[in-house]
Amino acid sequence: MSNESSPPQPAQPTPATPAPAKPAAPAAAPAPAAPASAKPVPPPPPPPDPKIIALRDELQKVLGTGATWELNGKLPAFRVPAANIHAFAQKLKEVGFDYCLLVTATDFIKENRFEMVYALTNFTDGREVALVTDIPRAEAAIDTVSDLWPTAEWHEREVFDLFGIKFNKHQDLRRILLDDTWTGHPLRKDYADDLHQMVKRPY
Amino acid sequence: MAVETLPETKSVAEKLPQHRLPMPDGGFLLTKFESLLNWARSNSLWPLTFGTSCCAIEMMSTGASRHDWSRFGFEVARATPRQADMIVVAGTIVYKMASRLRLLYQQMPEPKWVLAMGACTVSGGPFYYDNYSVVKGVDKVIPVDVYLPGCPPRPEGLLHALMTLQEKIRSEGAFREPRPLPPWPFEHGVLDPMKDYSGR
Amino acid sequence: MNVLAPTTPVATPTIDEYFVNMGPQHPSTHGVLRLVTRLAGETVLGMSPHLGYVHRGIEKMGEAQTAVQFTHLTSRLDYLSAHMNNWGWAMAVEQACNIAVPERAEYVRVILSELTRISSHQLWWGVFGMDLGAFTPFLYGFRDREKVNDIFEKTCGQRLTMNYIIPGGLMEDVEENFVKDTREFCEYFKPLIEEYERLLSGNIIIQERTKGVGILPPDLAKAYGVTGPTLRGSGVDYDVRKNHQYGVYDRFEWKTAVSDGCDSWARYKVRLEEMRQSLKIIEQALVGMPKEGPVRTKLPAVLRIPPGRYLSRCEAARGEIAFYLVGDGTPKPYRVKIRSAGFSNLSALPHIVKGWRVADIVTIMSTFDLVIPDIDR
Ligand code: SF4
Repeated sequence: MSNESSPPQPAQPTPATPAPAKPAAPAAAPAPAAPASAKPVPPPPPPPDPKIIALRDELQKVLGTGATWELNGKLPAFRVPAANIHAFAQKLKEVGFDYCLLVTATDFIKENRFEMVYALTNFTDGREVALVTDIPRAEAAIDTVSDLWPTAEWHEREVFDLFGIKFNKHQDLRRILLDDTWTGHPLRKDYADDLHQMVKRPY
Repeated sequence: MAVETLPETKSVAEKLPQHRLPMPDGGFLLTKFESLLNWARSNSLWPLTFGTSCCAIEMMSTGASRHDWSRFGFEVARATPRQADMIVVAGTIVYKMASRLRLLYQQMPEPKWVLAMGACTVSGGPFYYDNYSVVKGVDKVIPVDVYLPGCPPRPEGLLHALMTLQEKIRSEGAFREPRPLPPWPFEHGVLDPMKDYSGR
Repeated sequence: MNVLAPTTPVATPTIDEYFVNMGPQHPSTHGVLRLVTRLAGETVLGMSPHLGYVHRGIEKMGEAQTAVQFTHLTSRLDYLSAHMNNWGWAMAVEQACNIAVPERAEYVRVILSELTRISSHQLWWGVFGMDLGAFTPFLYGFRDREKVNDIFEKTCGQRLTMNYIIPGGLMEDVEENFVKDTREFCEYFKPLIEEYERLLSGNIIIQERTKGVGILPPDLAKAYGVTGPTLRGSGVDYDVRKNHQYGVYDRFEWKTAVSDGCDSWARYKVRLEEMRQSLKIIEQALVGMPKEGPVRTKLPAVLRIPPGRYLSRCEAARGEIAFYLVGDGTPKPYRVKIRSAGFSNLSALPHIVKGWRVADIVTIMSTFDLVIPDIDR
């Protein structure tokens, strides 16, 4: 009954929202929304690579339904909930992804989230897949994976240093690149720094 | 003169004795003490091996086979500041390193000179804009005598800068006042050992 | 893991345990790296590397410049493999924007990259000798390195920071004598590798100081993401050029240099062998290279990076360099992450120096071939 009266109301905001529509769709189905709002003509979607399809099918079986496939760009990725990152990472490690290439984060400040990325590959056929997960900017914390891949230990320290994301159960979470006395986390998009005379590029 | 009659094929060593004339009225030479001292200083500079990044490789090239800076009196590169009298700041200086550089400079005995090699040390160079960690010019940390731009400067450029430094030394007085250090603008690098910084 | 923590639960170090700071200003750290070592007498009990003394914030700068402009900063990362870094970045952008690279440019990229690898190993060989107390290799290594630099200089006008391989191909075509010069260099350098062997490998002091020193087991190496010659010295046959094929490397006949000695000596031999293999690749590439043709794809005036995640991987002289790029539809990258080889290689170092003497730290670190701005970025 309220259905009849409510449609006009959302109908008005909807045409006005294409620009903020992007933040509302970080989840599994941004594909239709993103090209609609992006002004520059996107290149025609390349035909799906059979190898990538095979990788998707294989890993989807391994990871189960908790992980959603997301080929945004060219890096094959699975989006998983942040709380279970360690469990999913372990599953991938068990099927042969024994080489953690990098752990990093991206600051999507408009959508008020950090996106953690774990790029995984192996030492034999060089297949690559990424685990991505979102954590809120406010209290950014996630479980460590450094017990699975010890190399992640330093990568996570770097993320902690430059983004201020805390890693639970990390053994030695200290700043790695900047001084211990440094305030702030420079790779956050809202980082401002008067002390170090950061000069904005005028063009 | 006798020199001109010699055939050109003779080596320099063979020509040399012809130039050695006995000094008239005794064997002494008049010069200023300053000039003598500075001549000696300028021709045996002992650089500190201080290379942080890319420019250090060009500094090494300058010291190695092809360019060979020992031709001009710089070959005794020292790894400790206490034995060096010149520091070639080769490479980017970031805030974390700045206090250490200052400490190294303070440990060097007087007289001492500084050569800022590369765009990074002159002004921040390629890392000038949008950068939070690079010191925009090493002269904010220690006083600089010669600036050498380039990214990286060629070895010939470094040799020229070193010779410019020699000229500068020769034109100085015998008793060189220590140059004042620039004011310390950063709060970084000095840690309070009693404080716990782990949460930051 | 806090490697400095005492293995036995003692609150304060015992009287003959002490800490020694190597660096940031130390001649054998090849730059400004600080290693806090915990010693008992001369034996290393633990070590903790402190990085960041040349952390230049390159990743942040990448967010403020266009993707093509950012190329020049990549050659300042690991300046000894500048061409490979440029290539890695170019691949990331090409992948993102679907840019095809002309065939001639692909060949030139291979040739230049392999020349870079040779020059980097030459420098490493010289400095390795110097670290162990022999000055002559330094002079020999640089003598030959200058020859490579001459080729680079004629090609792109720079000796060190090239910015020559750009998204879409090459900045300019190579100059006319490039093939001739490169061939001459190969002829010149081939016998010199044997000379290197005679000069240093046969030396009993070098052998005593490297054989069996600094064992890096393959499991440890893999766990810490060690790559490059350091990993191959541990018997793991992993090379991005083969295992994650890029460019035109699949058209050449060559072998990865692997040695399963796991010690400093194995890493030393692997690098010497790599120089031979690089020469092999160059010779084949010089033959196969198209004589004429474009070297650069025309890019749009404003190159926008489509939204999404991109990852490019490339084998630099020290190991795998990867660029992770996030685009948001503007010409500027939204996020650039550089995964450098040295960063991961160094993270394995504290675990293998335990039990060795202080002088062995220098040997082991030298065979890891660290370039500090590559680690710190
Ligand atoms: S001036 Fe250029 S070459 Fe020299 S250290 Fe700076 S970036 Fe490297």
